[in-house]
Amino acid sequence: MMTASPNFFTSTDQTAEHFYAQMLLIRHTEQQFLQLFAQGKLNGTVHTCIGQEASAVAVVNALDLQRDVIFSNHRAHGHFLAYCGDVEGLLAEVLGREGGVCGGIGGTQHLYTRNFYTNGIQGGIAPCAVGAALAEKMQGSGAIATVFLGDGTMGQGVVYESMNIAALWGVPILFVLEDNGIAQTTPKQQEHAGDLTTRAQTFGIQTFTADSFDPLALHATAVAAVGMVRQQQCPAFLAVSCYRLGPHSKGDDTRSAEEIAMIEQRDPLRHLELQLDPQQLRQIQQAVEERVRLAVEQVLERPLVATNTTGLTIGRGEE
Amino acid sequence: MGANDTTAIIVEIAKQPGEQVRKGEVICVAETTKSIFDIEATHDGWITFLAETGGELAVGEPVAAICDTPTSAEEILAFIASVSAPVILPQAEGDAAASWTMKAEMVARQQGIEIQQVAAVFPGKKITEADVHQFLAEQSAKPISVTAAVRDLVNDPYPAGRVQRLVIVGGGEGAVQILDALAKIPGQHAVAIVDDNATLHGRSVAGVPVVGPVDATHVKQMIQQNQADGVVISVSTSIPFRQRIFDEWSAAGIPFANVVHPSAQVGINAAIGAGNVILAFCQIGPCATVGNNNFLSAYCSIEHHSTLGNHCSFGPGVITSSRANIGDRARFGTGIFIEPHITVGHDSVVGSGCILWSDVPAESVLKSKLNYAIRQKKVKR
Amino acid sequence: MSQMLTNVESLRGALHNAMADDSAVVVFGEDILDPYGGAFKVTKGLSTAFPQRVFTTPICEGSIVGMANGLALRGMRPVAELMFGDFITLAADQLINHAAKFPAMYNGRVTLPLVVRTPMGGGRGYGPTHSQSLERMFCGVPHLSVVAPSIFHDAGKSLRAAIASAQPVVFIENKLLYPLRQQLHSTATLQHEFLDAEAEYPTVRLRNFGAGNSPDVTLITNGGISRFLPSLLQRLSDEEIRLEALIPASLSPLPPIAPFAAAAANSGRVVIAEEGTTSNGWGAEFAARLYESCMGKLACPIVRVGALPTVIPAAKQLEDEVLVSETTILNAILKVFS
Repeated sequence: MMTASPNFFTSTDQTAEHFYAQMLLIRHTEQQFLQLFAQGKLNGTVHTCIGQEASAVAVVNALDLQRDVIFSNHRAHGHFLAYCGDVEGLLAEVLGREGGVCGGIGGTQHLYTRNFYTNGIQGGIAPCAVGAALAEKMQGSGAIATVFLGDGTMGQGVVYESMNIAALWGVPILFVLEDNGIAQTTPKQQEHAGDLTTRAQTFGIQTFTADSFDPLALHATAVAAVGMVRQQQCPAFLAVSCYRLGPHSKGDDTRSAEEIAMIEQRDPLRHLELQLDPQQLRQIQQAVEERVRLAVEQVLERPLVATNTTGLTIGRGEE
Repeated sequence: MGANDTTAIIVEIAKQPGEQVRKGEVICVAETTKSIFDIEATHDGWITFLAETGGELAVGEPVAAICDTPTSAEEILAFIASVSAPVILPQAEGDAAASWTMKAEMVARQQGIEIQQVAAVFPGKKITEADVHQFLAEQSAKPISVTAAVRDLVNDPYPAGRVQRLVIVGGGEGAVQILDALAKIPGQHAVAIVDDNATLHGRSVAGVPVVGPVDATHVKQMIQQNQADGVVISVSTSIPFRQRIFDEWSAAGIPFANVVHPSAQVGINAAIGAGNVILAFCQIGPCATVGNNNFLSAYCSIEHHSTLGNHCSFGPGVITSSRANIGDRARFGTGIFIEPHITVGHDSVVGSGCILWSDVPAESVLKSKLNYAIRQKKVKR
Repeated sequence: MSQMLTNVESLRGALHNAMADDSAVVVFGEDILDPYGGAFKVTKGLSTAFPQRVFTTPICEGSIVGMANGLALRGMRPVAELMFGDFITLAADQLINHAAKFPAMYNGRVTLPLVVRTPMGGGRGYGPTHSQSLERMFCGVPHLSVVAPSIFHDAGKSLRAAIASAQPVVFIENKLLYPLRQQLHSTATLQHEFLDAEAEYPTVRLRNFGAGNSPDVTLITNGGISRFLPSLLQRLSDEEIRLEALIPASLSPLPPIAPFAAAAANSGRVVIAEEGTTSNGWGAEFAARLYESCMGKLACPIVRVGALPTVIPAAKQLEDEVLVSETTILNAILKVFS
């Protein structure tokens, strides 16, 4: 039963129900990944953003998706789906089936579509995003770039090199810190001295802070930050406080049950559920469930990505 | 010590420091890559060790000093320092005053001649590759003397399409071995056998006719009438016979050829004389020199930089190490090993199974003391 | 024939022309603005001519190359300068995990026309961290090209090819080559030709002998080592030793091996000389490829020559001891020849 129109998930409407639908789509898709991994159908690994979906949806929806450039990291499914809603392209990519966005080469950590790029190296995308933003500025496209960084990544020196250059040269880039308080298994307190939210300020970069608990409020902050970057042609720093409900990847969660229970209280999906009409809520939930179920079914029926005898064409394009 | 050894390790010191020793007594034992050897006292006197057990010494470094009176190591070292002259090392980049190009020198070496031979013919000129080739061409154009004839047969390639035709002296088992080798050598071919055993005359060995007795006049006639090109002696058991035939026939102008089995390996810059028989799987190492008229059975190795004289006879599996020096008319049994730098004098006889680690004077007879017991195998019935 | 350009003049001219021809070309690096014009003056005059597209950067090699990656992904043609080749280790992540990965891991759906120029090599007394030849550490990285012109190549033409390429290129210059005049034509005693003139980064063949003769020894080398060749070829010529030197400009990927294998089989004797250390290096790779193609046709084992496996000292006499010299190459040639 398809109750939702296709643009239900990709509409640029910035309402609670649309945010909720996109966040739920991310949640369900990632839960499918964990399940498929458990069933032995997923090769390798995945890093889920379960619990952090609000950050992806609120920030990405603040951008001009026709022209702005996004760089994301190893935990990118949320950003990707909020950007393009291509569940099949993502599923096929991660499952090594035909029609994956990168032909099955990139996999979960290395996604590309249109102006959206990810890489699994911590911090290395920061200067790339600065360069991309500089290119847009030099070409006068009016686009800006956004780069998503985690709190763990704030240990990398190249991030600060990038902030320095962006501020020095007036590069239109939004640095987004998704601070979930934990780097793989190490709590932030064991990794960082001082306050992460003040770090960009020393470069003279305007800093915005927000909490992912309230997606609509977070979105409003992101809109303000993006607007400043675009208008003033300068960098901004948006520190989003959020919680990761799931493990870093799979089976590597060392946090206590009490801590997880506390985090579950901070699930942004719950916050939105309270704001929505119960009937509308059920309709969205059914539509999302159906959407993901059908996508999984359809992608699993696709053939595995074809190999070739020499392997020499891998990474050299479709031909 | 091996030619490649630059150091030796002292593994055992056999005398007390300051002890009185007699010439010939073992004072210590040293080890190199190829062997363990005893170092003996060279004089009578009081010994002072300059090395320790386990110490590694460079070649030429003193192990110990033997003095007429007890002497301290310090006094000895001071004495050595006072008489040592500074060492002048050869220049790494070649002789600036060389009057030939490097290429000329290398071509000469590859052709088995010394560059100085060429330089002597072109005085006052920087010798080039072309000069070396000219020298070689003039050499081979000279009238054939006895030795030149031998050289011609042995070393120089035959004109294309022409096979060297051989007369084999002796029709016994040695001849069979030579004929087996010749069957595998495209450029050589046996045309006749000569043997003093009249019962063989008119018959053939492996298809080669036995044409008559061992007679220089007859064989020379065959050569002059262009029926044969050279001679090789198959008899390995009688060294006096080998020598007599080789010497007399060479003097009579009969050329001797080498027969080298194709499985034998001859290293670069190895020099081989004439009249040699070198059978399967032998090795003549690089820069080794083999004289004339030797008979090497299968699996013999004349290792690099060794020198072998004339008229010697080897059983199978005689292995020399580097820089062996073997005189004339030596006879070797089967399965013999010879340590590096060992000299075996003229006319010696070395029995099967000997391992030679000291020089052998001329006219020695060596018999291995290796022993074993034979007992009846117990078979359960 | 007009006077040949020096290596630095050729490179500088190519940068000027590339910027004039294509407004997507951006040049940046440390201390490259006029009047200084870069530590080795390759970018001199560039910021005056193109002030909008020439940037001086903070000291941050990782971000210099990272920014170049982002620019390249978004339609620009960045040419980044790293002041000393030794500093390339700071940009290794960007070169290996970003530049060489983006196009391939996105299944060929993006291009990354990046050039990272940097001077390698010793001989100037700069000591252990300003004298190395680290290009071998980037050789063999799939989808990353390593290019090093010699004085027998038109360096500017090679640089233009690198800028025009859709692939990321590490462009190795050699400090000692900068002031030398390029030699792009045959002389009375030296035959100069390209093995593959049509190639993006062609291989030069030099001979100290005329047609109709075959070489005694084949020397395979690249980049900075070429400074020794005019004198070396003459010395060998005086000794009647015929040397054929093959000098590829593409260090990685290696050019097709067939012509090299044919040359090696022809002489039977091969020396490979490189500026850096030999272990696990460019020469080792080249030797392995040659053995795969012509093992039975060589008269003797291939000999490799490179810097000693230690740091490069600052003191001149010590530095000379560690680095390759004309004499070390000559001795290697004599070794395989005798």
